[in-house]
Amino acid sequence: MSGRTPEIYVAPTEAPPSRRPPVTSIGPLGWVRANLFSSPANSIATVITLALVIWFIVSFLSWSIRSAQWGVVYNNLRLIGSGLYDRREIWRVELSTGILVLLTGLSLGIWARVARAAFVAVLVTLGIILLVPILAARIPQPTIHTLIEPRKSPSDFVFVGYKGETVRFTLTPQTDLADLDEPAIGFIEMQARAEWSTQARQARAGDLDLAAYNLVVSLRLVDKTGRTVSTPDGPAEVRFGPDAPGGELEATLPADGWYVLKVTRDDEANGERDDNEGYAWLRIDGVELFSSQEGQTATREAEFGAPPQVERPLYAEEKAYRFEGTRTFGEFINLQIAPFFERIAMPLALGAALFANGWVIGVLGKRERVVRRWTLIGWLVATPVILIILRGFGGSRALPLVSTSVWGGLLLTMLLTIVGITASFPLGVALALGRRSDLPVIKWTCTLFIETIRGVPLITILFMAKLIVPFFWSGLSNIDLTIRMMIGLTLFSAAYLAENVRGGLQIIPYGQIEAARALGLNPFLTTTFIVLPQALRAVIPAIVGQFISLFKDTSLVAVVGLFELVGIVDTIVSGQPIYRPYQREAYFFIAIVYFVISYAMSDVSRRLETSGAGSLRQ
Amino acid sequence: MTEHRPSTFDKSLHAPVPLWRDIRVIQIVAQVAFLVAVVAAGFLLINNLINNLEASKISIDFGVLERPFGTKISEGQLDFNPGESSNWKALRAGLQNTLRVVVVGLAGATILGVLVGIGRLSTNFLVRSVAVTYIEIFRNTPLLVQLYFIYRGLRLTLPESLADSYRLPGPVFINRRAINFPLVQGTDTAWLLYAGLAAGVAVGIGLWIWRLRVQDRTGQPAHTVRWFVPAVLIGAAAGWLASGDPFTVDYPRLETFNFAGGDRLSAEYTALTLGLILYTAAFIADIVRAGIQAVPYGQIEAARAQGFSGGQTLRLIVLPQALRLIIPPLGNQYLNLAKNSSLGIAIGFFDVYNVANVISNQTGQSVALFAVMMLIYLGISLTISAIMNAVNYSMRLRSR
Amino acid sequence: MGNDNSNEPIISCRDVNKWFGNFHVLKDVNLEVQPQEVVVIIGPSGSGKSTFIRCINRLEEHQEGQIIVDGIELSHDVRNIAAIRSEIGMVFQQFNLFPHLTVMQNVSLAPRYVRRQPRRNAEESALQLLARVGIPEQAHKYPGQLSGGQQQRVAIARALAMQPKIMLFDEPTSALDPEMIKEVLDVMKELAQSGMTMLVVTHEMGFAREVADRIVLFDEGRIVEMGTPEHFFTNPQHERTKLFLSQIL
Repeated sequence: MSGRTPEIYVAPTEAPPSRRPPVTSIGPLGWVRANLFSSPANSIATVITLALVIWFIVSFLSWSIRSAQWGVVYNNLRLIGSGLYDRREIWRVELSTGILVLLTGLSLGIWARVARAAFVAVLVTLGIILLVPILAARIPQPTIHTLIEPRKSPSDFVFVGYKGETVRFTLTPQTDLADLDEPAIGFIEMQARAEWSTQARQARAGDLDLAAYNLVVSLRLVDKTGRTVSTPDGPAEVRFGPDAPGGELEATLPADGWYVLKVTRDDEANGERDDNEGYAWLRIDGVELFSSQEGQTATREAEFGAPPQVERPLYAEEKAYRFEGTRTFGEFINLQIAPFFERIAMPLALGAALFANGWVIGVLGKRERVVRRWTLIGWLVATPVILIILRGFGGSRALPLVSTSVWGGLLLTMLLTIVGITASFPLGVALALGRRSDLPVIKWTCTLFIETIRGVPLITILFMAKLIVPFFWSGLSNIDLTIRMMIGLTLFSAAYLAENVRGGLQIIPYGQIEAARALGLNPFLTTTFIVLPQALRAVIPAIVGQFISLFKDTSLVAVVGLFELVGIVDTIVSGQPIYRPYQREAYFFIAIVYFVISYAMSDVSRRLETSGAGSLRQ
Repeated sequence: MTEHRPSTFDKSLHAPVPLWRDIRVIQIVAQVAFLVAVVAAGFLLINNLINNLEASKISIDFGVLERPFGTKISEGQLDFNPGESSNWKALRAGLQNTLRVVVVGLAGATILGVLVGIGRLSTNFLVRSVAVTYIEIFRNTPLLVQLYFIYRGLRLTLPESLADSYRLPGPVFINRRAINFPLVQGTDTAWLLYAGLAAGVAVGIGLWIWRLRVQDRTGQPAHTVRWFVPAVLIGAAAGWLASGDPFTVDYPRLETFNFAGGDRLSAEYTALTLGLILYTAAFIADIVRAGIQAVPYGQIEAARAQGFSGGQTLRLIVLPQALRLIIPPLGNQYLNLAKNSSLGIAIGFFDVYNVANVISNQTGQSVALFAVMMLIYLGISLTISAIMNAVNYSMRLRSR
Repeated sequence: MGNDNSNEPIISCRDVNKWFGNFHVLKDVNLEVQPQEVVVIIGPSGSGKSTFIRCINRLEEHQEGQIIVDGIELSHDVRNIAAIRSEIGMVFQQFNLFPHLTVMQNVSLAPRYVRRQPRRNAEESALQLLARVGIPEQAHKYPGQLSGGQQQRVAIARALAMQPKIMLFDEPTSALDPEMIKEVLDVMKELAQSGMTMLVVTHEMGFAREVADRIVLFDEGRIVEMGTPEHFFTNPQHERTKLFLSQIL
């Protein structure tokens, strides 16, 4: 200690006010300085990472917007959603989904805290999905191309037009090599594409002399009754020939309904076609392509009546056309995003409404034991009830049998997951308790079972379930593949669950059990009311993680031959030739589906209030 | 106590315990009952199994392993003749392929996982965000979807015809079927190079130990790496010079239908290994992050207050403690990777599972093959587990 | 380096201000510490006293004002920071011993790697320090095997091993059981009597009364009153001082 006497200091009574910190230490500038450029190494890392990130995002967006064909997804939504489930019985799938959505809403309302940000995000997403199709209607349609070929009578173009719309037809005969430029954008009739590629190749190779051809074509726009549409310049018809090579026919439609563009080689009526041959692109602007979904045909016919009868019709139907070249962003929205959102908007809105209902009830009834108890009962009862609803009974009229072999898509994935969870949970807990038993026989049997299953890949177990289970049980040799897969997944998940629960059992202090015994509780009561509640609560994160893994592992049944989400996409891109080049889009889409569901589940698990989740307290 | 009054206690000490209440008897009876139940169930199932197999005219025959394997295995180094070599040899070839994937996969996933895990804790916002995005995306999508995306989706962007292959310096040719690269093989004099390298490493280790002793004695920093690396390089250089021309390089050349010369990594192998690495690394990154974050911040403060530099803090204080928390779940991920290699069947890679499946289909001997399959995977799992347990034990913290 | 003039303060803080985000945690703090002086800092929780002494060895960074230790200014210059840290030893509330190293290794690690001492010298000094704090026989045990009081004494020895001119103590006994507080306080008393400059944040008023040359009261980020122990305990003047002492004594 020093020997000096320090002076005394007393502060003024009034405290000085708090000041604001200097500018560069807070606010956006301070944040940038601290987070991105705090040291030379950091700055270099920032620059490199920024470059990589920008490159990646730009490449992805440019692929997605300009050339990816997302039709593989939105044209197959029913397949992806429920597989080959009988179309007429889809209401049962919708009912089951509704029940599940309602229960989920209830559960989340009761037991989870939802961040405001998540709420806002969901609302915004819904808003976008509902609004985009409406706004997209204002974006002009892309150009349609069909080809007029020699030795083939040209087709008449049949389409639905709306009052006040302007349609324009442009004819471009191919008369020399310079005309063989590819159309840069638009829909090209699939047959025409093939034919044009062939003739382009031949012409360049010298096998085809375009100049030798001489094409004279008439175009006439008529309505359903056959009357020519009239324009301010006269009737909507025009003749293209050597004297008028190429040109336009433009008309404003007077009313809603069917229209036909009649395309004729002018001397066809005379039967002299040898001189009047040649290739020409017919470009069509302002016509809306029909959606390829079946329901739309019926709506169209209901609204406008049956299409006019023509000899060689070419319908403006999306399925017959393929997009070529690079799209603009507007076309991307119009052609890919809007149809997709249109198809999911209604079901999504209904689902959201149901969910919100359940959630509100859950939040309001959070404290009521009745609400909590009935929700849990609901979950317990829901699984078998849904299975019955979906499967039905042979010979029943209200609920005819829909064999599990046609269940597929996301429906099957969720079913496998839910059945797996509900069945593996009691089995896993039983195994964990058995492994900790004092009786050596039980202990070693359980240990052997757990370690064997954990030591082999899941796919081995699934194949075993598929091939060997029938041998073990003669009565069930015809058991559904789906049921066999459920058994395999359940056994697999139960073994991992047992290990997680075992961890929880281990951290319970022995004094708890001693106290229970001292009170007179027998082993069964001790386990049920003292040990298990504490153990399970302690390992809830691990258990939920295991369930999320189960959800992802259901994808493996695709390798075994079931058509859940991955399997059905497999058949879509491998089975239908039209979709074969679009594997990236398809797999990317289901990756997103898995990601969203999986991320949502893990997020919810983080928010669960431990006082309520899975407890036997009530 | 002068008088001994009879009481209930006396009676219970002397009266025999009725059997049905005796705790010891109950325990034994329970075990016997359980055992009987298990054995009975087992008999029932196996009886069914045998009956049904007989009915389908299939017998369990482990001799199936001796029979010839019908298909060509397009993978790995093999002296393998389809139609001649036994199934057993086919399984061995498959096992080789599996190990090729697993070893490379483990190494790659560990390196990538550690880097991303550390990046996840970086003070740099961009690096951190990229790390988080990577981890969340690859953890929340199934491995099978990732494999399909890589093998069926991304692979389509590679050129199909061999003539159009991408060409990297080497030359290395990349196309839809495989990556062809030059094969480096040792000549007769290569042993001199290896000897030089070995000598360099031995000297390097000696120098390392010597430098550590110097630090002990004098306190001067050891700079072990600065002495080790030159020693190894000098040894290698000496060996190279002495051997003259230790390597021949076989360059791949495009011939009519395929590449000749060089070595190739098939598309299936590359896709499977790459997919496994990307998937497992995401999990490892999260484990590394959790391990490092679990080291109490006070440790770092104490180290800084003592004057340790950032690198010394990491090396001497943080990492040893973090490793204890990382090793057990890391071992788990290694096991998962080894088991996930069986997904090669989905993309046509001939790992041991795929081969077993083919044999099973060809011969109908599903039971025998699955028994062999499970033994093999159990063997792999137990090996990895044992190694990780040993490492874990050697690093435990001692406490009262 | 440093100034040996006994009239110059060894720590000099002028108009030190610090913010956590928008929260103004240290407001215009002015303090000078003479060599060999023992300053005890008291105050309610959240008053900034721990933050203040952590600024002195740069575990926290002050945004405005000057801190000069032994003639070296505490700035962004890494050389200055390293130099200052080598003159200051710190003892934490949670001990922060390295659990994977033995007691001996804990104490000798920094001298070997930062001061580059040979191992034998470092270990000899370590043993002497352990004897000084009273537990030479624990040298080869691990921290997890020692009691709280023993662990904190090892922490003091570890800090002393770097031969600092100043020792900072951040509530060194707050995490200890009552029967172990005395052994740690005794070590700190011996340290003070041997002439070490000490800044101690604590609630132990007995220690303050006995050992402190000066007591400083922090409240809401500023120094409210400063003076001798007699002044504080017999004649506190500021309202907040009186309030605080009435709650704690």
